[in-house]
Order: sequence, then C-alpha cells, then structure tokens
Amino acid sequence: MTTPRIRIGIAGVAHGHAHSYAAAGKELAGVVVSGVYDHDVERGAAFAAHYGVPWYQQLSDLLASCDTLMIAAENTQHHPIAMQAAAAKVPTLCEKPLATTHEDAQAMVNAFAQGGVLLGTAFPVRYSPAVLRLRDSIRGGSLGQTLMVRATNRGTYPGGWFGDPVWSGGGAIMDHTVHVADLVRWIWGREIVSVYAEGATRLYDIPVDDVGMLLMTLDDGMVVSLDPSWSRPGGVYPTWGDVTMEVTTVNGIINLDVFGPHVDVYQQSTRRYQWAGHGVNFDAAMIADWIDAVRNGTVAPISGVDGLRAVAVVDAAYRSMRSHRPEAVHPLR
Amino acid sequence: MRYGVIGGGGMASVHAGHILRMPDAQLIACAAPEFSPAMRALADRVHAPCSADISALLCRNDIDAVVIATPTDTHAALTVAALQAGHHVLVEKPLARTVSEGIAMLEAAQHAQRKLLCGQVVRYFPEYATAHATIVAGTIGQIGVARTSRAGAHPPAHSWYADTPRSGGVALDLLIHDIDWLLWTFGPVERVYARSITARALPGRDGVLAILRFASGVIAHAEANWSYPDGFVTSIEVAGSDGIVAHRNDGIVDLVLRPQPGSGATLAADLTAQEDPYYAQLCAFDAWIRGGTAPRSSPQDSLESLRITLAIVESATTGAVVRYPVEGMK
Repeated sequence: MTTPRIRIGIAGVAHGHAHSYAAAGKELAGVVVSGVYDHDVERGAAFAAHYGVPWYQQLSDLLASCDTLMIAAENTQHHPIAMQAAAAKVPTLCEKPLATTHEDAQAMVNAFAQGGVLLGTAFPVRYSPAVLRLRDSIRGGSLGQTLMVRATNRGTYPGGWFGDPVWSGGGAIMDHTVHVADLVRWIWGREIVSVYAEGATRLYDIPVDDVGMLLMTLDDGMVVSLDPSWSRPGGVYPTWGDVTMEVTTVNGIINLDVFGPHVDVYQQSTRRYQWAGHGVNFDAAMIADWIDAVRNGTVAPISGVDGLRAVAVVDAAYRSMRSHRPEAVHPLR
Repeated sequence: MRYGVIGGGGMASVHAGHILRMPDAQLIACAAPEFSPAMRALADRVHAPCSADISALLCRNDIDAVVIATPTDTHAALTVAALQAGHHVLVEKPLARTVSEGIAMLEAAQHAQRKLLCGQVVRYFPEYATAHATIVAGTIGQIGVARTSRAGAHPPAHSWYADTPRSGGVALDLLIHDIDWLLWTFGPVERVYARSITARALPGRDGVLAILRFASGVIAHAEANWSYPDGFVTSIEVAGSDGIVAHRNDGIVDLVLRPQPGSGATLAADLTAQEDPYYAQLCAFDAWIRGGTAPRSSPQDSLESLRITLAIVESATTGAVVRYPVEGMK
C-alpha cells in the first residue's frame, strides 16, 4: 500500500448525505469511516451501530481520530462544528448550505483559510454527466451568448428538522436555492449580483417558507429564474424532486433534466408510483474527488468560497422576500 | 488487448469506435468484403489495415480478440474459425442463423478454451438493466404479465437485413433483443405462439407478435415491427402482484438542444461514453478476457435466446404452438 489510508469522520447524521459518506467509506479503496458524532445520542449511536463504526460523544474526540471531517448535521450546526474542525486543522467537507447566514459562512471560510486547511462544500449535482456536458457545450462557444435560464430545484417537503428554523435556518429557499446558484456560477463562470424572491408558507403548517420563486441577475446581464419550492406532493410524487434548466442562448434552446432518465415503478402495497433512476451516483463521484484532494493536499474541488457564494444568494433572497425588492448579493470579500 | 474487427458496416464501425476509446485496447486490423466510409476512417485513424482477406486476419498472431459484426448467416463459420485460430470472440447478435450453428459455436469455444460473447446488448441498456434489477429484487411482487415492443423503419430492400434467409428477418434482428431480456428476467420458456405479417411480403413492412409462457408461470407479449415510416420506439411494461415496472424510450433524455436554423450550434461531445451500452458490453468482454467476472450473458443464454426466437418464427410460420421442454417441468 503506497497511498496512506484516509479516515473519514462524520459529524452529524441529520442529513441523508451521512449515508453517502458512510457508504463511500465502505466502497472507496484506502478509505475508512473512523467514527460518528451527533449531538443526538440516540440517532448518532444508531447510525454508528448500523455501519459498525465507533460513536463519539465529543466532537473533539472524533476530530482527533480522523483525517477528514464530513459534516451532515442540521443546517445551523454546520458553523459551530466547522469552526471546531478548523481549529483542529481537519480538512472538512460540509453539506450544503455551507451555513444559514452569510456572516457564519464568511467566518468558516476565513477560519479555514487562516489555518491553511481545506474546506469544501457538497454540491454533488456538479458531477452529473448532463451538467458537465452542458458546461462543456456552453464553453464550446457554438451556442453563443446565454440570454436566460429557467431553472427548477423542486422537491417534496423533507419533514423533521427541515421545518424547524432553529435547526434549518429557513425553509425551501434555504434548502433548494444553493444547488442551482452554484451550478449557474460554475457553468457560466459569472457571479449572481441581484436577487428578487417571493416566498411563503402555503402547503404545510410549518414556521418556514415551503414555496418560493427567485429571479436572479448575473454580472453580465444574464437572467436566471429558479423555483426552489417543496411543491412535489410527498407520498405521491414519483421521485424526491428535480433539477432542470431551460437555457436560451443566441443560437438555440437547451433542456437539462438531471434526474429525468428513469424507469416507472408502480407498487400496489404502498400505493406508490415511483421512478427508479439509473444514472451515475453523483455523491460517490463527489466524495471520491474530495478524498483525492485530501490525500494529495490539493485545492478543494468545490471550495468553501463556492459554498459562501451560494449562501450569499440565499441571504439576498430572504432579504428580498421581506423587502419585496430586488436585493444586491453581498460581494466577495 | 489487441483487437481485430471482421465486418465493414454500421455495427462494425460502432464496435471499432469503442475499441478506439477503450483504455489499454488497440485496433490491429479489419477485414470485410467491403468497408463503409465511417469504418475506413476509424481504421485509418490508428493505421489499422482494412483488407478483404478475412483468413489472413484470423492467422495474425498479434491479435487477442476478434469482434465479428457481419451478416447473421456468416456468424457461425467466422466465429468457429476465429476460436480455432486462438482468438476470443465477441459476435454480434443473433448468435447464429440456426440453433445447430449456435451449438457448434459453443462447442468450438469450449474446445479452444477461448471466451465467446454474443452481443445481446439490451442487458447493458441502463433502463433495461434497472427494470430487470427492480423486478428481480421483488419490488412489484410476483410477476403476472409482461409486454415488450420494439419498432422502427424497415431496412432498405437491397440490404442483407431485408434478405430473410440471411438475416432471419424482423424476429432474429429485432425481436431477439426483447426475448433475451425476457429470458434474463423470467427464466426458461415453456411454450410460444406467434403471428407475423411476413407472409404478406409487402415491401417495407414486416412485423411479428408473440406470446410466451414461462415455466415460472409468467405470460409475456413481445412485439417487433419493421413497418414504421421512421423513428425507433421501444417499450416494456411488467405487471406483478404488487405493481408495475414500465419504460418507454421516447422523450426521456437529460440534455437536448434545439438549434436555431443555420446557427451551427452543437452540444459538446457526450463524455459519458462508458454509459453507452455497446461500450459497457465491450468493456465487460475485455475485463472477462483479462480474468474478471463474466459478462451479463453467457453463450448458453444467447443460444437460448436464439432457440426461443426461432421457435417464435416457426410458430408464426406454421400457426402452431411451439412447446419447449424445460428441465424439471412437468
């Protein structure tokens, strides 16, 4: 064995991606999951037992026994956990959104930069083959200038802590703005400068927004609309949600449907009609890429700054939702 | 791995193209009576000679494996010769024109201790593999009835595909894809009954409808149609005690472009070539030769697909049910 073994620590298992991280620890060569931390004793211990890995009551003990930390805690816990990881100089891949406020996200980026430690943001949709091909197509030039994009990142209401602002920091807009904001920045290489947002609680009896609509302007004048609503009916809709774009360029129209390819599955006992997807496992590709960066000490494939810029868009969206005016996105400091 | 390709038409160039993009693979030589411009261009890119002398290609000792993509009635003789010359063989579907030819091919592979894979590529189509896995996992319970359909335009009248004695017609060219998937998913067949429009001998029209009864009790309907004006449409639907699995190939794509007329707009190359079913199949063949796990279909599987498809042709021709003895069946 010439490459050193990488020990993954999982901090928080509130988000479903904790399972992706644990699975990667089992499947990737030269990678192990060294332990799990969660403030919820029952949940953390059950997760650790399920994967047969140690459970730590103290985050500091986990940090002392891993080479990289993966944060899959509730949204508002990202910041305190990450700050402790930065102090312990542990390279950290953080679930999106990086933080629930622009100030927290900025503090995280600063802390890791000052320590010279890797901070990454989990935006797995960048690893979709269709998204990669769209980016290559746009950069290839034959499509001409992009004029506008009509995007959706709709989902079913995930329930649980997602509906509790103490843990989630916000609703559908918090949950589903960052993926498309990041894709737009990455595909077009432009910054989002202004956001107009409507948001409301219309579908569920919860204290956070469950529907929203964003209209964003980029620094070259390109416009992007986004529907981040939790509007897919849970228990009925055949999949968790979608990531789609209709891209209008000078030379044509492109339709992207990241999770479109599927097989229909109708199940009587559950009274469900569902899609069985058959695409690439984006999560696995993202984690493998992150592990490479940790092992080789290179830059984060998707950085903390990328996470920060997406949080800045969320921040502007919530300000706009209250002001009913387009709001400027905080510039990169 | 060093490859030779026998055949100079559409499928030969598909396979040659994938050999060129596969890591640690080389296209050494091609042989066929004639070569399409696309096939010639691919061979020229890697300076692989294109010759009409198939025997000379088979005699080369710098080739490990041969891909055979020739008219169906030539599969058996070429495959047996290639195996006897010490090459591993990937032969296009159907395995052969007749069952006895197919048996001879399997025996030749056994005798020569070489790998033989028949390109029943539908097992490598992601949607068909997903449907198979979903059904086998028991998600929709005990299977009752299955339907498959595969339809497109008739091949040009002058092509060998349209020459039924050579190709086996719409059943052996098109229907066998779904028969192979059905056998993969539901196991052995007990009996078949089929009707076709072949006997009408209408130019540009052919089609076959078949009912299969599986030893497991599953009932299947399989359709192949060469009467469409254009396009290519496939579908499957399988209904079980706990639900339905279904897929159609129309309209489900993850990236599509509508270019403005005359703008020259194009999408970037699809870099997910490893997801191409033909490429996945070739990689599985390549890995198998190198000592890896066997591909999704064994030569016996492909022989069975041929046997059942020919039973369907027989039934369509005679109007009689063809019963197939299944071991362990009463």
